[in-house]
Amino acid sequence: MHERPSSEPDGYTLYQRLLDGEINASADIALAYYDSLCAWLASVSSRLDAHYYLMAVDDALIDLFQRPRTYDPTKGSLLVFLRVAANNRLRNVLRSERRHSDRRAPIDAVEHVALAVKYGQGNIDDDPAEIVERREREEALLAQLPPQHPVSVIPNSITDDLTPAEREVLELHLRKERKTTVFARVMGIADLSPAEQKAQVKRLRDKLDKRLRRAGVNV
Amino acid sequence: MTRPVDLFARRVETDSWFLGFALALYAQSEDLNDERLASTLGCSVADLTSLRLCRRPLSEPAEAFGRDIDTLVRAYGVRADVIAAVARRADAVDSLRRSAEGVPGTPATLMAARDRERNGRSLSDREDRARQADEGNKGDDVQ
Repeated sequence: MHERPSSEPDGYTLYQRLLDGEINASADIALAYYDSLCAWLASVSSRLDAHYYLMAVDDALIDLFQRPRTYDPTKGSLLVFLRVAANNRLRNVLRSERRHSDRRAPIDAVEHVALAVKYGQGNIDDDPAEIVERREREEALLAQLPPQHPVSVIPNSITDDLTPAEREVLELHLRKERKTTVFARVMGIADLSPAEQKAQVKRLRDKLDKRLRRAGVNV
Repeated sequence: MTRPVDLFARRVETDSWFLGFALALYAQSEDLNDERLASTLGCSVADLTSLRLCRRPLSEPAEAFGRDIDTLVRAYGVRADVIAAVARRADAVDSLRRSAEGVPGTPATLMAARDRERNGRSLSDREDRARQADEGNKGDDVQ
């Protein structure tokens, strides 16, 4: 049986193999990262159905396999890139769910009227509870949507030369996240000692703060 | 036990970029379940996940195809003749599918273009002959 990559994958080598067109590089990358990406996404976006994480991770990996140049190894590790990509995919999935839900709202209203009419005629073959349940599921989903991406409303001069991981840190920073462990996970430094994590997180947050102040953005 | 990555490997079977696409076509046409597919290939059922997640071998140039097949043989211990047949069958199905969709440069569209050219030429040949015959007849009438 083919040997799986170790638990600490060498992202750079795997990526180089993908770039070189090695036929089984995609399989090795998937085996090395799939489970940990799903677990990470679940930890930062709890309360969502697992199929949303899976879909997001699937899309992020397929994108990398088919367009490997979208990743720039000089800007961060493959793990961080895939986390950011999967997270962005998750947001897209949730946004499209929301749009779908918005479009369906008037249809639901019509269904309610139709059901009322059916009830009046004593000719019911649909359960109205199903419609109510569906609406409740959609509302629960909407409630889980993250707030509007704050990075999108700040000047480009702040974000232009940031790596995907730094942008993610900026986003967390703007959302008033305070836990070092959360930042460390995004930065891909969770395996460092707590003191080292704290120091690196502080350095990056100070740098971002300085930029924000220069651009006149109040945090 | 099925791992999430095994499900991912099944989901890519609809994407022709992946070897999973070719394996699914082959298994379907040969009526093979996972156990029989693995045994035909000469690998374990667990290796099917890795194989499905590989890129599909490049059909051209021939050296690239050979290199891809060699890598699969070395990495997963599959039989070269079977995995090559799997890839070739997918290439053939893909080519037919694209022809049916009218993609330029594929066999059906090239044949259609040749037919059009041939028909066009023979039509104009017929027209020329008819014109010559007409002129000849007119000449006869004058005489």
